This record gives sequence, structure tokens and C-alpha cells, in this order.
Amino acid sequence: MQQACIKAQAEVQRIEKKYSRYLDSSLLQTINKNAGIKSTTIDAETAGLLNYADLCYQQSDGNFDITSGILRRVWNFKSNSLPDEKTIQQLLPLINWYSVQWDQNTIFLPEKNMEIDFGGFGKEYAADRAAEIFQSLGIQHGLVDLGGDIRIIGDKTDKSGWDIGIRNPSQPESAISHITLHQGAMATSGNYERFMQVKHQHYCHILKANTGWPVNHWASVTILAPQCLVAGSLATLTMLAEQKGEKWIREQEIPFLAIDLKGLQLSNF
Amino acid sequence: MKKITALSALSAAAMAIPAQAEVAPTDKIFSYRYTSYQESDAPRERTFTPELGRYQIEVQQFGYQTPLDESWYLASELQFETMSGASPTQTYKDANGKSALTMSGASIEEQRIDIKVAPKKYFAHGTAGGLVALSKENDYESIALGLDGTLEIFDKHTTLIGSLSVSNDKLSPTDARISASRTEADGRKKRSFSVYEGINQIIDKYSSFQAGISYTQLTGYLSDPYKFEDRRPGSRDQVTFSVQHKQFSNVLDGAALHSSYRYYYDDWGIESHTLDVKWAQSFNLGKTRLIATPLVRYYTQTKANFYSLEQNPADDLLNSSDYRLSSYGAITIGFNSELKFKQWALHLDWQQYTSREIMALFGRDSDETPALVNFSTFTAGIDYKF
Repeated sequence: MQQACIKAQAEVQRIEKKYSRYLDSSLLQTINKNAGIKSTTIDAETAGLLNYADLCYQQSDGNFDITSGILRRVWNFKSNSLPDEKTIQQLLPLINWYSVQWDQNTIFLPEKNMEIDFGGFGKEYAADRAAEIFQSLGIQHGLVDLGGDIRIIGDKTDKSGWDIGIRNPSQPESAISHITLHQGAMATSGNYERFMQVKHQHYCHILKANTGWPVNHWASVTILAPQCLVAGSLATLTMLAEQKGEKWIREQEIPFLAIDLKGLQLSNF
Repeated sequence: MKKITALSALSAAAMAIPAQAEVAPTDKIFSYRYTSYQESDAPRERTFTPELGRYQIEVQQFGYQTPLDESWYLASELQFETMSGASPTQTYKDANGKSALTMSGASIEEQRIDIKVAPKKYFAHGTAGGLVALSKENDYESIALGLDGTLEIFDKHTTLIGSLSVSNDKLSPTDARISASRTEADGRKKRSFSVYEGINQIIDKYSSFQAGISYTQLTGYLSDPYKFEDRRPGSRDQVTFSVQHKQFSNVLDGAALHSSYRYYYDDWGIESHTLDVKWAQSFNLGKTRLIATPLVRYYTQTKANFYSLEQNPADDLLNSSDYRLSSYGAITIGFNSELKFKQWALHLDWQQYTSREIMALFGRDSDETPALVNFSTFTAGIDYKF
């Protein structure tokens, strides 16, 4: 078991180091430093993740865009003050996944100062990879929980399922609902993770790439899916779709629990 | 918003992300070790010469490991050793049939410097590495080159391991003119060629097993020029079989039992058995993790064909009274500890080695070996990961 834990932990750290936006040595930072200058060679894993990000971009009509991380420069959720609309407008031209030139072996960000990050799904991907390592080493019961993003390795020994609490967006330390999971994954996207209140208005960290402003319809969306990566992205895409999100997620025919800003719960399970 | 397709499209894309296999380490590690090695004095009642104080060695080791890029990793090490003390020159049976030990008179003071560089390339299903090691003392120079590789098969549950190394050493004994054996050894070479093949198998989530075989061939000047009447063959073929088992358990905050057995024989007539058992116990103390590892090792060997306590053997006969070629047994007990906190790891290790003729399990010999050594080592070290 320790052997498996060490390997799984090493895998999570590997992903973090490879795709961290804080480490100068990460592949992601190399890609970003080469923006506007030259293309960067990538491996198959990175190409796979870019392909995944590309699909999220298409599915969200451009609101999920891995080049949107640059908005962090103007959105400081600790400052309790809103960014200037003009500054946001100046950044928007740099948010343009469509303009990025990439294939299976290389990526090139066409403008200097453009950047990509995998913050939108990196943690979920790591949870999947860690769980798969446990499974490959013969672990049959257990789950991986990376800060609320959960991937089941296998059911409990007595097959009674894992009892998982879903955070209450207005009181994130307590559960608003519980669910029993036997397999698959659960991920939540919520407006309570990083936010600020300005003039009684709630501004959360999930920003729409098209406008540069936070989403403002759902307090949280929880999705169950076979993979944590998919669950997390569907939750984020629903958040981004705002009022159109309910219709969209119902069409996916996948278990969800969405809570709007008034506290109204919508669910199909 | 596109419809319906999102879940299936994303699931398919998620499935298509290829998993990375063998993982190249991404940490840079700086490490420092200080080791003090102290041999016990030779026994007064069995030593003919006045000098009793044996070797004392102090070792300072600086290590630096760093990723070179996505798939290359480099480990390097620089080591300084200071040795002082006397060493046994001969053991012989005196006229009364009692063994007597003679020690080198003057205390020898020597320095040694070692440099090792080992790059490693990580592939999807294995690794390939190289090694260059240089070692220099005032009377000895050595260069070693190595290649090693691993290959993961059967869904990574089985790893094939192989390595190959060669070394070329040059002797230049101090005060080469004071004895015939030193004069003869001056400028002579010693070469080695070594190959290892092994297989590591993950048995289940709690245990793994490794087995290996190695062959080493030494050629050149293999005698010890500082000893009297030391004439060894010009080649030595060594074969080793080893097995290792690791068993993890949930005792306290996690533990692992490592046990290994090694069988060795060579064409000098030496056969040896080594049994190693250690228990690595983890304790989680808040943000700190302590790994305490008590260990015990038993070693026994038979003597070389030409080991003898003859004081004046014929010059054309192979002969040696080196205690390392005698029949004996030895026990090592030790305690290693590692304290991990954030990016730091502190190491404190202690070992005590005791060897005796009567501790030999096989081929116990009536000849006494007063030069058999007892020693203790103490190591303090620190690692920093960043």
C-alpha cells in the first residue's frame, strides 16, 4: 500500500511540476516564455491535454479558454476592488485559444505575453492519474480526494459505497447534501473557492473568457462522471453557461446537482 | 452551446490522453553527509608490534541531483576522505604455534577524492543510465565507467535490470623503494569488468521481489603491496546470486521489511553468504515524518586457497595472511534514522561491525586471525529538495 501511495503521490507531483504556472522550470512556463518568439516541443501527454482543452473551448463557445489565465493579473480577489473595465479590454486580445498554433508535437503562442494554464482541469486530471496508478497496482478499495475532486479507486470492501458530502456554497465548511459513490468520480465547481464582495455583489474566480468577467448565475455545480477530469470540466462548463447551463447539463444525461445564487437546488438524482 | 455531444466528446478526449510511464524525477536535491569510520585497536596480547591504533576515516560527501530536461536526470557526487592509522602487514604463526600480528609502524595519513557523474534517461518503459567515476589517492588512481538500464514489462509489474561496468586502476605505492613488493607494484594496473542481470517483480500491493546474478572479473596486480608475503593470482572471477524481498505493512504509520540474501563465490576459493534484514518504520509527527530503521546483517565466508599464516613461505608460492581472505563471520547491527520536514531531510545513521573467526558458519579454520577488524560508523547528513 505504501508502495502504491508513494507512486501515486509521485505522479501527482510530477503533473504539478510539469504543468505548474508558478515553477519557472515547468513545461508550461517554457511554453509561455516562448510566446511570440518560438514554438515549444511537447510530448504526447501534453498534446492530449491540449486536445482536451480544445474540446472544452468548442463546447463552451469559447468561454472556457486555457489562454484566459492572464486575467488573474487584473482580478485580485483579495483586494476587494474591481478591475478597471478598460484594463480588461486591453487583455482580451491576448485571450484567444483559436489563434494558438499547435499539433501533436509543438505549440506556439502567437503573441508575446500570451499564456496558457491547465488550472481549469489539472487537479482533476491528477486525481484520475493517481487513482489509475492505485488500480494498476491492484488496489481495489479506496478513493483519491484532491481538494474535493474525487475519483473512486474501487468500492468499499462491503460494497456499501463511499459517503461523500457536497459543500454548501453559502457555508462551504458544511455539507448541503450527501451522495453514495461506488465508482467513477465527482467534481464540483463553486463560486465560494475564491471570490470577493464588492458593493454587496459576489464576484467569483470563474471568469468568462469572452468578457473577462466572473460568471454570475450558479453558486455551485456538482457532476458525477466516470472520470474526474470530465466531471470537473462539465461542472465548469455549466457554471460558464450561466442560465443556459441547466438545459445544457440536463441534455448531457449525467447526474448533477446545481445550486443557483438564491440557493435553489436543481438535481437529477 | 453544442448539445449532447459534450459528455461523450470530453470522455473520449480524456481517455485519449496517454499516460506517462517511468517518471523522471523533477526535484533538484542537494545533499551532504559526514561519516566517521573508526576501527577498534588491534588486540594487544596478539600483536607483536607496538602500534595498535588502526584506521580512522573521515568522509565528507556532497551530492547534487538535477533534472536536465523532461527526460534526463543527472546525479553527481563529490567525496573527500581523510584516512589515518596503521594497518596489518602480516599475521604468522610463531615458533610456539601462536598467531602474531604485525602492524605497519608509522601512522599513514592519506587523502582521497572521488567524483561521480551519472546521467539517466527516462523512457516510456524504462531507463538508460551511464556512470563515470574517478578516484584519486596519493598511491592509487581509478577510473570507472558504467552503463545501466531498466525495462518495464507486463503492465509495469515486472522490471528487467541490467548493468555493465569496467574500471581501470593504477597503483603507485608510497615509498616504493623501501620494499620489493612496493617496487614491483609501482605503476601496475588492476582492471575489472562486471555485469549484472536482475529482475524485479511486484507481487502484490504489499510486496516486491528481486533476484539477480552478477559476474565480475578482476585482472592485473591484485596483491597488497603494503603487506608482507602477499602474492595473489593475477585474476579473480567472482559470481554473485542475490535475492531481495520487500514487504510493506500498515504497522503504526507504515512500515517496510527489507530482507535480502546473497551468495558469492570466486575462483580463489572464497564462498560467502550474506543475510540482511531491516525494518523501516514510519512515524507521522504532525508535519514531520520520522523513518527509523534498525538493521542487522550476518556475513560468513570461507578462506582463500592461498591464505596461510606461514611466516616465510617460498617466494614462488601464492600466499596471503590478509584477514579479508581468511575464514570468518561478522555481524553488523545498525540504526538509521531519517527525519523529513517540508523540503528537508535529516539523517543520523550508526553501525557497529564485529568480526570473529568463530562466527564463521562454514569452513571454520583452526588458524587464528587476530587482524580481523571491528569498526563503527556514524553518519550525519542533510538533504534539501527544491
